[in-house]
Amino acid sequence: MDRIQNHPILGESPVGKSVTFTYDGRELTGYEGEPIAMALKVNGIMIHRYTAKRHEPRGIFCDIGRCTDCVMVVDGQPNVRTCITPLRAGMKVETQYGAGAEPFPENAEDAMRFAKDERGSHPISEDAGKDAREEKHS
Amino acid sequence: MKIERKEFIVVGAGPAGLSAAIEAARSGVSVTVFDENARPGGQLFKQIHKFFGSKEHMAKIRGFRIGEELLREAEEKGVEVVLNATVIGLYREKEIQVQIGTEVHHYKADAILIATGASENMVNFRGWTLPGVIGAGAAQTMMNLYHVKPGNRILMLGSGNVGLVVSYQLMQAGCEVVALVDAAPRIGGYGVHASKVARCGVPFYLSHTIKEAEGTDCVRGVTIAQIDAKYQFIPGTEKHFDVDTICVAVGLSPMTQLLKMDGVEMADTRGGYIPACDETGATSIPGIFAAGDVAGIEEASSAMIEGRMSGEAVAAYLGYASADEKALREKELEESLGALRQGMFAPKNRGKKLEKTDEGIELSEMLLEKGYIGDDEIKRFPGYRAEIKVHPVLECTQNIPCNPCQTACRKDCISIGDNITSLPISVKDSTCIDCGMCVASCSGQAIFLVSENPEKGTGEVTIPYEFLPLPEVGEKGYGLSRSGQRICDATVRRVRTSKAYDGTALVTIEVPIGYTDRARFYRKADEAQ
Repeated sequence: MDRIQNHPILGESPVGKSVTFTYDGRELTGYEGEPIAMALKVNGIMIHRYTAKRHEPRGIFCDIGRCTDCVMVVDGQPNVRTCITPLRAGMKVETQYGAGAEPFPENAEDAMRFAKDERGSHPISEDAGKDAREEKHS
Repeated sequence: MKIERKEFIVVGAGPAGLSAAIEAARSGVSVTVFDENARPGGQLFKQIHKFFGSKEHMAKIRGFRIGEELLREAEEKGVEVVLNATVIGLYREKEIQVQIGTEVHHYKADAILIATGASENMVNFRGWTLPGVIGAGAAQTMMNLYHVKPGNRILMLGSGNVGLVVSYQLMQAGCEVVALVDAAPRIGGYGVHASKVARCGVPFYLSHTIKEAEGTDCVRGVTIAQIDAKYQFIPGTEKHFDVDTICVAVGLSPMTQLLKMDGVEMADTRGGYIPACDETGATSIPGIFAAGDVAGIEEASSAMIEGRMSGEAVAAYLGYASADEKALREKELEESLGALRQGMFAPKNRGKKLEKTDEGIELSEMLLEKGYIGDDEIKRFPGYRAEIKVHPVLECTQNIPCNPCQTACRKDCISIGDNITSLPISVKDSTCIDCGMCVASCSGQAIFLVSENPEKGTGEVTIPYEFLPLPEVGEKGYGLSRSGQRICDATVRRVRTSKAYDGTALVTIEVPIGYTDRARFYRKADEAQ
């Protein structure tokens, strides 16, 4: 999603200091000090984690550190609320699967492919989504 | 274990907490405010619209500027504000536990104010957990604090003031709002907030709700459907929209956990499950106070007054103010708060269906169901008058506590009177000088300057405009109706910006003479509708 360049009320948006971090092994850039979740969003990343039981995707929901939907594994530490944790240069940000960074079997192949993938979107296969939904109904 | 002693602890550095801290510090109380966030101000810094009320309530000032002012005042009064400090426990004898970093600190205070605010409510629908379904507060955080667009195409669920205001702000951020949906049969928020969204062409679907958010990895679309009186879906009424974001604004709940933990007496009210307290926020436990949304959901404006009342009461409780001083200040603040709690949207009118204004004028059903007032309906309200010379037309048709337009006009063209919830009157035979101050002062963007030139067969309409890019003089486009439909050609004749207008530009468009009562928005010719 885009950054707002110029706003009718807030004026020109401040340009932050650009820093590099990794997301599931891929190098991305964001503004130093902005929430990790914002840096991911401007890079087109919507999925922050998969739930432990049903393996369903979750992303930003409340954006004020209350709901914990956006938690990820940051520098090896799981359950970090990315919407209120400031981005620092060199941070290692990983999708959280349940409570860790180890992909679920159905995500493993995608995660591997993604590490090498240069495109902006997360290549989740249709099948992975279906699995999650079926599980939900069973 | 070390227990540190504090005189007065405030939990929450939002509008209520900061106001209380300032008020108490003014009397000499030493105040410490804890807030779990990295910056103070609560939600004020996400509020980029102009506030309602009268001058004493900081009306026509944008929320984030009020936030800046509160912080400045708190600093000036020597209030200690501790950030990234989460209060995790409140116990007997006013003992409080605060987590700062990885450490837990213990404090005891002579008085404690809980001003923790509220959290957003949610509704469940199929797919509601998908990435791309967000709270309205999240949208405000992204766009107004971090300058990031929450989405490109967005559906808003909820027509209360939050849903309406955030829809407008989304458009200001450059997002497209495809529809505004509410399960209720009538719009919950102010008619003026709805109208400024409707005139941009956003359709309102009342008695509708979300059936499903579509997508497997994130939101790709949404289906809404109409519901019957028993809130059941009516088959065959489904409508699909391609969206990447669904924004949910379905009310707030007071965050009362700390108060409950301390054993404060609670009450089940229309404003939620809230602490039973007196007008100063004093709860059933002496020395424990509550103010702002945690004591009943209202606006930031009332939270600030409630905070001040609690601050004053704490000063008296701790012996810093005499009973007389307290009574005097309390009376003043009570009157101020009372003024905000009047009108059709007052807490006492929650859930009631009103038919007429205080003046006895039949309300517009269309405004309540579609978000805009009918072209013929506007004529029965006192803000309307027909005249060839330039004059203000005030499309303010509900009794809401707000009066900056009256003070903005120095030529007495606008009259509200002493009761701030009265409908504004466009005064007959007054002389408007086209200064535009009323247009910019109206927090509801409901004032238009209108004139006609019968010889030329044209008329001019001046509209408030808060979008970018600004139209240019001489530019051709369309006049849009109150419902956002193209109704006539329009040429931009004048674009005014001024510090006094505070971000609201005044765009004057020339339209064919029959359209001055109908054209209420402008769009450039090559822009998609």
